[in-house]
Amino acid sequence: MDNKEFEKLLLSVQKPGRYAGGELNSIIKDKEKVDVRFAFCFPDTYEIGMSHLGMKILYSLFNEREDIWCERVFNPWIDFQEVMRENNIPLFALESRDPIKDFDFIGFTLQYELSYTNVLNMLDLAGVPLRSADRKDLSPIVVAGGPCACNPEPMADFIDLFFLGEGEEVDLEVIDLYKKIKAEGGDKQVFLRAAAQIEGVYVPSLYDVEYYVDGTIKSITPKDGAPAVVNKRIMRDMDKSFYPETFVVPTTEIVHDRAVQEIYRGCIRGCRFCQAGFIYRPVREKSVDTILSQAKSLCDTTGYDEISLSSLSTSDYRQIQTLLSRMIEWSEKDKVSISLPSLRIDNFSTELLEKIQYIRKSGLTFAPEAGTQRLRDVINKNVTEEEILRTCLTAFEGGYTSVKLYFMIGLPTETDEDIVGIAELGQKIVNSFYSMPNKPKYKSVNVSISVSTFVPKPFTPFQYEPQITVDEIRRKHDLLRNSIKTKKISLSYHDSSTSFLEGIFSRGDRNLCKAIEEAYLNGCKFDGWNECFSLERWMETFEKCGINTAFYANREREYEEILPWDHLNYGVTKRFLTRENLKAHGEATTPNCREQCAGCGANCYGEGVCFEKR
Amino acid sequence: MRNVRVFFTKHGRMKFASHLDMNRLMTRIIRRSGVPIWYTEGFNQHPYITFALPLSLGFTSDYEIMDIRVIDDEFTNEQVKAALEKVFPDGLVVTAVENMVLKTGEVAFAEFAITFKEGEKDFAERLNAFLSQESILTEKKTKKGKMKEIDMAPCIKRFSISKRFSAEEGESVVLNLVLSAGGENNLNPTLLLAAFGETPYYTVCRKMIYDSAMECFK
Repeated sequence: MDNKEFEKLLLSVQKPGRYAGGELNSIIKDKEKVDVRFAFCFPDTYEIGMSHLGMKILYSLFNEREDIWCERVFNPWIDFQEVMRENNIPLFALESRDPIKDFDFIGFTLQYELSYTNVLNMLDLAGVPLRSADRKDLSPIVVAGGPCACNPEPMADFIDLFFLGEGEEVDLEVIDLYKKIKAEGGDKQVFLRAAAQIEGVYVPSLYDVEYYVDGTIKSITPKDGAPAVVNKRIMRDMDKSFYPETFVVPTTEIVHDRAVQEIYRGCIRGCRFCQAGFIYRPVREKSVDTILSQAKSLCDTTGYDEISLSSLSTSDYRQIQTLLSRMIEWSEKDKVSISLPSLRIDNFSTELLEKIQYIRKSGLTFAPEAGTQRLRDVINKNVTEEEILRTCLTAFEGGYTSVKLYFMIGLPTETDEDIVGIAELGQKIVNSFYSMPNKPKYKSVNVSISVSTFVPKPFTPFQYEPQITVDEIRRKHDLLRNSIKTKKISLSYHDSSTSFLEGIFSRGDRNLCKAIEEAYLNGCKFDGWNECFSLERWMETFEKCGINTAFYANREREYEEILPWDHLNYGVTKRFLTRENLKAHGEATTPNCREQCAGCGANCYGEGVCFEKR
Repeated sequence: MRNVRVFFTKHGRMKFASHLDMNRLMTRIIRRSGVPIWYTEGFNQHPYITFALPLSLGFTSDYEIMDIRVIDDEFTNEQVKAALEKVFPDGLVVTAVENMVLKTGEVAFAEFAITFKEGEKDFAERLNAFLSQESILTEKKTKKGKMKEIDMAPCIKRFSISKRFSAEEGESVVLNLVLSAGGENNLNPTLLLAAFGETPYYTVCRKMIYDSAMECFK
């Protein structure tokens, strides 16, 4: 289709800037001069995908190589999908506007389970068969990575190979292998078998899964020489690890429109519900010098006037004070503001507060996660009520009049007392504001409580736990709402039915593949979007496919049960996770990695926090 | 410190950048360019930028105007131009950088070239008849959100219609249109053409901006 015709169609839909391409720093290459074309697909809208750091890292990394051209692809919104179908426009990459079905690789990043139907939606729009088995040719190879790849089984029938862990090295190794096999005239099977030999690559078609009559797994058997256990990959030295010098700067508005500087990977904390806290182990920090030079380069080359420090828990960076002091020296002069997401309650100091105030006065957000000390011990949050109140008071004394608190409901062992405890904690925080002798006159306080539903995730100590039912979620929402007695507390919560769907997929097995396919064909897409999500449509699909949703979401697993992801190794051992689960039920906490090693197994990588000098 | 006027063109993929997008984009471009520019005071300081006349999304333009404030008087307009040229993305081209002459409030007219893909045979004639009417009424939303009837005919300064043929595009009708712009009487050509009724697909390019004496806006 010629450009004029294409642009005419663009002008007929909402936010055409999403599809226009040509943004600052986007990379155009001569397609005749590259060997491998890679379509990096984010299975959600442009605004969400463009905010994602992982994509920026890999986009730059791939494009550093002269022989690879990596382009970006997002899922077009419903209105443009219709226009594309009416006009026979197959899904295209933003840079070249070429159809991605002709690319060598179509790569997806799986950030959340609710984007699974969008993966199928994008393959379908591209004109590529959904199932791996129906794609016989060497190209396009459909690959996927990201956190959801740690239990890739619900997507096993669609994706040719998964990257486990961090992609900076393994992705390129796979691309190189592809080049070699292509040059030798090898076919897809030859390529997949060879790729399975690369550490960090999981080829689901090379594993046979057998089930017992009750639906649990009997065995997972590798074939054609594939390894019995697939290990995740990590970057061992974060100072030597690739980081982009620049980002593509979107012209239209996106969700997180700022420079992002990663400061470390992993988390020392071991909160038992948190998947990221386990699958990214061990903690590996960047040095202050590395961070400063990368951050400066990013701001200089993008023109961004805001930079966010990214990690799972910013205040756990050992040299946070030094880093901020040195960063402010430069950011002040260049009029760049620094934002610090992911602050913890227990080590949020007055000094840190002063620095943040100096930088930008935005809202303060903390995550106590549970309403009572007993439950916080169960989830290993390691935050006391005293610390929470002290931190809020520090913030109030520093001039803040609102705080936002994140909680979860449906946590293992939770009782109604724990739910009421959320409201009580909120009340105590409100009271602490009014207890200040020098509280600001004529100013009110606002404690905003945001509640999400706990979804048990693979590779966490709670991977064995049942998720509470949708009815129970709603009952607990009502209980909490009725327990709040003041208008100074505002309450918001997530939709219960999407959490339920997330719970089915997160610990699902290969039997879900047919349901995901059926649901997509039945019209499910953009399941993370309220305006598109339909629980009824999903329930119909599950029924039609003979899927017992309670088996996946609401069933308690035995420690001995073979879980669908047991043949994948993310460093943390199942023995450790079981031990932690037992401790949780005994309401016993585990110290963080820097206090005392808990023997999770992640020291097998020979790097990071496990070997820090103390 | 002086006010500097940057003249540029906007084509290609940049036509999908809205006015708000342009604000954001230019802020970043200018930060990257290293031009010593004045920042607004206040807590969230940002570079001071204004556009003489916002351009609708989807339009291209040969004559865009952005005003900035350069704080270093030794940083010449030529240097500003060179610095901006280095960082302007595809689709935006700096044509000139000069000291500001007129205030943006003195914008009075804008000229558009509107190209229609081949239409019905008498399309050009019907268009001509439509634009020649003494009064062309339509409803327009006021700033308060109410609908108000306005007459667009007085806002048409002049127009001409020609037919063109090119091997690439085939036959097309080109409407050259000068309309009131800026301030109170701004008229968007889309509104005018909507009152005409069904038209063939068209593209709009802003060719020029004028002051009240129909002099090029400097």
